[in-house]
Amino acid sequence: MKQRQDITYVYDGSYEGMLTCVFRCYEDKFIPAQVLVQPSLLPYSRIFTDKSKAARVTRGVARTMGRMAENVIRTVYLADNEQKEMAVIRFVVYGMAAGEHACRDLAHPDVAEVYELFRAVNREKRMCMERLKFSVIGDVLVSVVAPTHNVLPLIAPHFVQRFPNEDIFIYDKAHKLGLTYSHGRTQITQIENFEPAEADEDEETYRRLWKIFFDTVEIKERHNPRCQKNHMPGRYSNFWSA
Amino acid sequence: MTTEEKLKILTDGAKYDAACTSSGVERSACAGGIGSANSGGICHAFSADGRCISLLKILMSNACCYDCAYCVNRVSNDVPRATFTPEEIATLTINLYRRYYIEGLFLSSGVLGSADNTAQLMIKALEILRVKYRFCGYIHAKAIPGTSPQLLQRLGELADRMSSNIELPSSRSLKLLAPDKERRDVLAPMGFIRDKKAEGNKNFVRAGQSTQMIIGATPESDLNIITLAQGLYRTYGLKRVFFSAYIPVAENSLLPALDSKPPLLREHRLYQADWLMRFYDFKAEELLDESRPYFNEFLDPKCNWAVNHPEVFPVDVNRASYKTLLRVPGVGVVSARRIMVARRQRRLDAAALARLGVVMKRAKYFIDGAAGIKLRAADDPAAVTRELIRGENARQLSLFDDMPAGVRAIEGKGGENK
Ligand code: SF4
Repeated sequence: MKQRQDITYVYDGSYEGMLTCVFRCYEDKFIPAQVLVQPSLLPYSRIFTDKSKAARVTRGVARTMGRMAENVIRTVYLADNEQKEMAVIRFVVYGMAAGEHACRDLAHPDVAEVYELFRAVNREKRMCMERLKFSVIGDVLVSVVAPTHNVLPLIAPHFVQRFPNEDIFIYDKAHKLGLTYSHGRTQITQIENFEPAEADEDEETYRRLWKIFFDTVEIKERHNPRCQKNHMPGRYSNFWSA
Repeated sequence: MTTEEKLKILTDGAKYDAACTSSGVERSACAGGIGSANSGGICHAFSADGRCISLLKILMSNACCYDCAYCVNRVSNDVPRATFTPEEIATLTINLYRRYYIEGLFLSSGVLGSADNTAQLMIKALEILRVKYRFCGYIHAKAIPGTSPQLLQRLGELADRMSSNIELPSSRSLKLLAPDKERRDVLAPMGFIRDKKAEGNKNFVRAGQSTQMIIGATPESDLNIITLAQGLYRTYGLKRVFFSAYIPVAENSLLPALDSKPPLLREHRLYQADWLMRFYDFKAEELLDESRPYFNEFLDPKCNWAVNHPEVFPVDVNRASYKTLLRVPGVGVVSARRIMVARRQRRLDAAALARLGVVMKRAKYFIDGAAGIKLRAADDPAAVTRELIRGENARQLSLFDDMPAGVRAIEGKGGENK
């Protein structure tokens, strides 16, 4: 499929919207120069989210390119990256022609591009899953995070599995999303603002004990702050204080 | 004594154990319980020495009645002593676990009166966790040398991982420096656990067992050490052998002086070699031999092996076997797997290899068809060595940043050692 440098798509930023953009390429028989969420000053085509078109893309991808490809696209959608829609479009266009082995054609530039995003999101998921810390506030496990990609949907199953009998609230302040888990139900909702309540005495005690452990477990003769910093990026340094 | 004071003392005595991995078990919380385990392991934090913190690593007690010369907890050392109660350990673990600070507990101990007495206290703590709190997170328990089989059995039912430390790389050194211990006391729990596991009870020490030895306190060579490690993997089916650079804790004519630095680079090289033996199909005797019993300080063991075997190169990445790919510097387990998959779709050139994650800076000397490379390991290994060392110097600055083992909670699949 040819790319037209003069065409820009603008959509609503939803997952189905992104898939509707993919569908539109097949209707138009070309690939746009860019896909935006905010309208630009230059001329653009607005793509209206259409659930049935999105579903057709999902079915087509699953049938022709396989489940793995569908998973890649779902994950890449969560990336904070302006190129993600174009990467998905190119991946689908290549894969629908190439078939099931597209996901194994890791050296193809269009596949490599989408996989790079896929890995970046998974890395952030991992990072968030490792560095997040809870405060126990009013018997709810509360955490505030600021991940670089929208990873709440990806980390939710892990925490549910670990703490099935707890109430959990994780706030992603970068994306203004809140993950709530209570009585077996998980929900992610848009929340403009969230400030956790003050820590009570118990909470203070265990934070203090953790700090004692953390400071004591270092072997001073092996001090290596640079290595520590590489593994504990700044954006996660205050996660635990919620 | 307050919990704070105890925690400080009993963390201080436990911190020299290198094992902090939490991998090897996959499990969801049981009904009405708390906790799960991830087979890949999870690092919750990194301490200021750059080591991963995955488990609450503490001693039951540091009031040890033995006198191992290399150990801070030895009876003759003048340090404050403390002992946790089993309840204290369980409460502390649960509360830190709930806050997601840790993946679980690593419980070790000095010998409190006798091995069995110590093991009984440890069992009590783990039973409170597993039964009262229905704790399903990760537990690593130390097997104290001399513990009776019944108690080892019970510990093994409660713990996911067990370890008994071989401490020093030769029986001779052990005899000299640990007068109360015999090599066979250390190996007995290892053999017991191996045999019990072989009987087929899947829930017994599910994540397997590990051991640790101290590096640089005694005169064994790198060759001695990796040969011993290889033997331990083979004989006891260990999941991990950890190396711990000796940190002087005592004035003793048999040990390095108090002001000597821990041999961190040496430890790093040993971990790299260990990685090569576990995931890259290298044998100890391929990496070192009697004529060269130590690793090259300037070059990692894999590059070092490669420049010493120019006859293997260049490798044709489009046809070579997986095993051969793993031998190419710059190619790791993950990139080798990707090469195997991707080359069936198209011929791989240098740009494609870079996309697959191959470190071309090192690989280019060893493969066919890297465009514009005149220097080849096969033609001029000495010149390639110089180039690699120049690159390694830059890496050396960030020593341990890329450390594959020991500092990571993850010890399983696909560690990279490019
Ligand atoms: S038995 Fe263990 S804790 Fe006691 S002195 Fe020896 S090494 Fe240290």
